Amino acid sequence: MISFALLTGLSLMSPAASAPLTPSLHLPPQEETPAPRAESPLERYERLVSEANAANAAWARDLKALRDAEKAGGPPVPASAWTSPLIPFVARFQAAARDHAGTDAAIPFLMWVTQNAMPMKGAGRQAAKDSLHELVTTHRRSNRLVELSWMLGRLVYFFGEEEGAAIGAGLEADSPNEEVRTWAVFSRTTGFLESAPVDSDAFKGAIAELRAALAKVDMEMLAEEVENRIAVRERFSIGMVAPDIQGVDLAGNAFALSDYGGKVVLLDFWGDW
Amino acid sequence: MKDRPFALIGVNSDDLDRARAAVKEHQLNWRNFQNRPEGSKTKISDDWLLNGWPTIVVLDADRRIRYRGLDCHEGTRIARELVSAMED
Repeated sequence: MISFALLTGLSLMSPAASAPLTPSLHLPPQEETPAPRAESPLERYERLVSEANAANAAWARDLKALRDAEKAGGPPVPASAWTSPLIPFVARFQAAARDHAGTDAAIPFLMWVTQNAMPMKGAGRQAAKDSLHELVTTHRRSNRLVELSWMLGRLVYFFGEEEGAAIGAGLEADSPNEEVRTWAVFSRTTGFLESAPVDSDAFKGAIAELRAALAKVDMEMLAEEVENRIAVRERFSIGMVAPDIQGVDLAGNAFALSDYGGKVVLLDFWGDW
Repeated sequence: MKDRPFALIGVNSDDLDRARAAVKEHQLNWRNFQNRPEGSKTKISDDWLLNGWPTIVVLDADRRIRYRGLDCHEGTRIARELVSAMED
């Protein structure tokens, strides 16, 4: 027979029951509860991040349950279930960044907002852009900027031609980080890479500058992207003759793109996946 | 656009069976061929340096590129304009 104590998890020999009855005056004086210490910026950041991560995990779990239920023939997942649980956190991280405005302590909070709110719409996205702006101006000397990677290459896209260029110039002049400076070079030259005529000095100059900057750093993905863009411009710009395609169509008939001379051709690269 | 100087050609990135099934399922009545033909090592999309799907490329009567991008509406608009200009 299983005893009541085992069933309930109670121990008949619990420490409380077996403790000697020592008179209380022999006990060391009880320490006073320490006054609540102010949270450090790092502690505040870690607390917010852990709350946000917990909210995100709970959201993902709930959403999965709803989607599984839908697949099993239940009601469709309501649109509201897709709303990011991180939205309410944006204002909290922003408030923390404001409390430490202008100091290094603000950087982690600004990073969080920039990276997590950029995919949001409306106020969230605006908050991300504001935080990015603060990072690339006030904190342009921080090495942590390198974590923003591709965002640093799109300064004109985020802040417009004039301000984007000014911010990029600030990074190129002041950042101690070679990769950050390379992103700034990319941001400055990407417009020429996209649209300057292939035989123009602007295009050739942009390529030369980018390749020189990329030769100094280990940024394989960006280097690959840049070389791909250059090749696309050099071989597939508007007005260039497209290469021929020869092969067999899905019905098994011989096919050559050059057979369509004299016709306008719309090539649709597609897949059914 | 039938009987006009125009051709719509699909380049499909699925395997052969799936491509054929998709053509049948979606009732595509234009010519399609495979991005990587059976037995071939290279993909047309690699030769053409594509990095997004679906990509539209519009060629004029001299096989010159007139549009290349991801916007199928813009691609169609340019193709229509070119065809109309040829017929004028």
